[in-house]
Amino acid sequence: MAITVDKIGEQTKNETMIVKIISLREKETKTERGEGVYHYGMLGDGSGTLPFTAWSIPATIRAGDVVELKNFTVKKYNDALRVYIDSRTEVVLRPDDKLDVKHVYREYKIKDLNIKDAFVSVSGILKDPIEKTYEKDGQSKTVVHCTLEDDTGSIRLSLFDRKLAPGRYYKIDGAKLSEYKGRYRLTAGDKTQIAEVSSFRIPDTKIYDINELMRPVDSVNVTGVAVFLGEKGGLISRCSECRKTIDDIRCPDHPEAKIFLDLYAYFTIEDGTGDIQCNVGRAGLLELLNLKEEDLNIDKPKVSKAEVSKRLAEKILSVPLLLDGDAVLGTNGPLFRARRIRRMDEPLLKKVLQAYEGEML
Amino acid sequence: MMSRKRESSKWILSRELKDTTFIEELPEGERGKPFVITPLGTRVKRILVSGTVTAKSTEDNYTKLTVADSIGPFYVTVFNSEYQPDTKEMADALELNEMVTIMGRVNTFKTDDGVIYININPEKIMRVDSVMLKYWTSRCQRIAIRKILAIGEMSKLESPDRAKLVAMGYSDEEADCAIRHLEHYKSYDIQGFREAITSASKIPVAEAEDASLKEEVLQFIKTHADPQKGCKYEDIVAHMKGKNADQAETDELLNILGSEGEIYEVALKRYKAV
Repeated sequence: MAITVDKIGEQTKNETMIVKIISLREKETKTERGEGVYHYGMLGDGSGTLPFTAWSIPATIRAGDVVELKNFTVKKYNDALRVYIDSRTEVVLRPDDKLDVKHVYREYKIKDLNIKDAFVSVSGILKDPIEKTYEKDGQSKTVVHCTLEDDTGSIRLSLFDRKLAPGRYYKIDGAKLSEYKGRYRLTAGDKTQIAEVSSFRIPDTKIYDINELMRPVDSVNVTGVAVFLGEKGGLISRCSECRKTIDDIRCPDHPEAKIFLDLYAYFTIEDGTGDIQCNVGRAGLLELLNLKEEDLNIDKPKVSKAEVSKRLAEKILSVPLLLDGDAVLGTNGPLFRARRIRRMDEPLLKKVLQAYEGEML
Repeated sequence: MMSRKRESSKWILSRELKDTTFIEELPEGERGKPFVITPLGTRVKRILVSGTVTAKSTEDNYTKLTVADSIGPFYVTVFNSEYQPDTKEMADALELNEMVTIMGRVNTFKTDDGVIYININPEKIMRVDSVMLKYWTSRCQRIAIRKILAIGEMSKLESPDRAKLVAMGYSDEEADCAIRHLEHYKSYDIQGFREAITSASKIPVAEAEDASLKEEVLQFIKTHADPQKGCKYEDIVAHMKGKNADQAETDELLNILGSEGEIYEVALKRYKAV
C-alpha cells in the first residue's frame, strides 16, 4: 500500500509512494571530490506537496511525470520536511497514470516569511492599490501593485490580471515570495488562489526587539536609543537629474541640472537586544525637525546646514525613540528605513510600554 | 582586513552586574578586557546604563561617579584619555542628582580571595530625562524577565538544548544566556533577583547617596586601622551602627569605597585606606 504525501514524517522509512514530479531542476556542484549534478524540485499527490532533492534520478524523468518511489528518505531541511532520493531509491516511471496534485502551502504571518520557502500562504488586509498596464505577447495586461498587511507587518503584493477591493481581507494561497533590493514582495499569478476572509485585528504599532528583525518586513516599529549619528547626514544638496549628493555648487555629471536641498540622516540605535543601522529621509526629518517644505527652498533656505545638524543631534541623541518603517536587508546586514521618528514623551512611552506588556501577557 | 561587527551594549539593571561572580578568560594571546558572565548568563563587555548621579569625585586623571538605578548603584570611572577627551569633561560637568545614560566597557578587579569589583569605563555619557530612565528600566526588566523565563524552560530539559528553546520562541541570545546561567550560576537565587527587578518599576526621585556616611567609614578606617593588620570589619560595623547605618548599609559603603580604590582588604575582613 502506497503512502500519501500528507502522511509523511521524519520517521517515514521503507515506504512506497506514487507522486507527480511537479517541478524538476538541475544544479551543478563542485566539491573536493570533483564536479557533479543533482536535481531538486517539488513532488505531490492528491493530499499535498513536498520539496525533494534527488542525488540520483533516472535521466528519463521529466516534470509532470508520475513515478513510484521506494526506499526514499525524509529529513527536515530549513525547518521543512524534504524527500531525498538517492542511489538506493527505486524510481519507476508510470507513464499511463494521471494524478491530480493538491497544492498545500505553509501559512505564514508576514513577519515570519522566509525566502527559503518560495510559495506561501498569507492573509491580510489589502491597501493602496496602484494599477498599471503592460504588453505581453501583443496583448495589453494589467498588474496591480498593492500592500498586504496583517497583525505582524506588511508586504508589497503584485496581482497579475486580478483586481481586489482595497480595505478587504484576503487569503492569498500559493503566492510567490521573492526579494528585491533588500525587501520581500509577493506575486500572485494565475495559479495563486485568492479568497476573501473575515477581518481580524491589526494593531496600530507592531513593536519588535531589534534582534527579531533579521528578515525584511514592512510597516513595523522599533524603539531604542541612538548611540551613533552619521556626520554626513543633515541638510544636503542633490542633483535633480541623478539625485546624487553634491558637495560642490553643481553636479559633476550633470552641470546644467538644478540642485535642490534635501534632508537625510543615518544613525545606529540600540534597544538592549542588539543594534541596527537606520536611515531616514526628507518626509521623516521634516516632521522630526519641525521644518516645512518651503524652508528647504534652495534660493531662500530658512535653515543652515549647521542649524539642521544641531537640531538633528538634539532630537535624535540621548532620547528614547519610536521609529515607524521597514526592516530591509542591507549589504552589511539588517537595516531599518524609518518613515517616521518620534521622540518618546510620557504619553507615547505609556503606549509603547502597554504594547510590550500586551506581548508579555 | 576582516571587519568586526560592533559589540552592541547589554542593558542590565545594577543588581545583575553587582551579583556577577564569573569573568571569562581571555583566549591565549588576546589582549583587552574580558567578558563577564552575569547571573542571568548575559555575556557583557559593553554596557548601557541609566540612572541618577549619586556621588562624584574628581581628580586630574580620573573622575569617579556612582550612578544609581532604582535598585542599586553602578560604579563609573572616567579616565583622562586622548581618545575621548569629551567624556571626562562631561563627567566633570555633571552635578549630583542629574540623570544620565552611560555607555561603556566593564572593567573588572578580582581580589585574592575571589571578590569581584566591576566598574564601568564610559565611552559616552549623555544627560537624559525621566522618560529615558523609565524607558531604560522597563526595557531592562523585560529583557531580564524573558531571560528568567528562558532559564526556567531550560532547567526543565534533561540536558541544555539551545534549539529546543529557540523553537519555543526564545531568541538565540536568550537560549545562550540560559545555558551560561546553568553553567555558572546554577545555585543563584533567581527568585530573589526577579523580585528585586520587579520592584525596579518605580523610578525614584533622585536621592543622593549619603556621602557623609561614606566619608565616616573612610575616616574611621584611616584613624583606627592597625598599621599592619588594618581595621576590623566588626569595629567598622559597630561604629556605623552608632551613626544609624545598619550592617547591610555598611557593607555597601565598604564595597563602594573598595571599588573606588579608597580602601582595600589587607586580610579577611580587615581594611586599610589606600
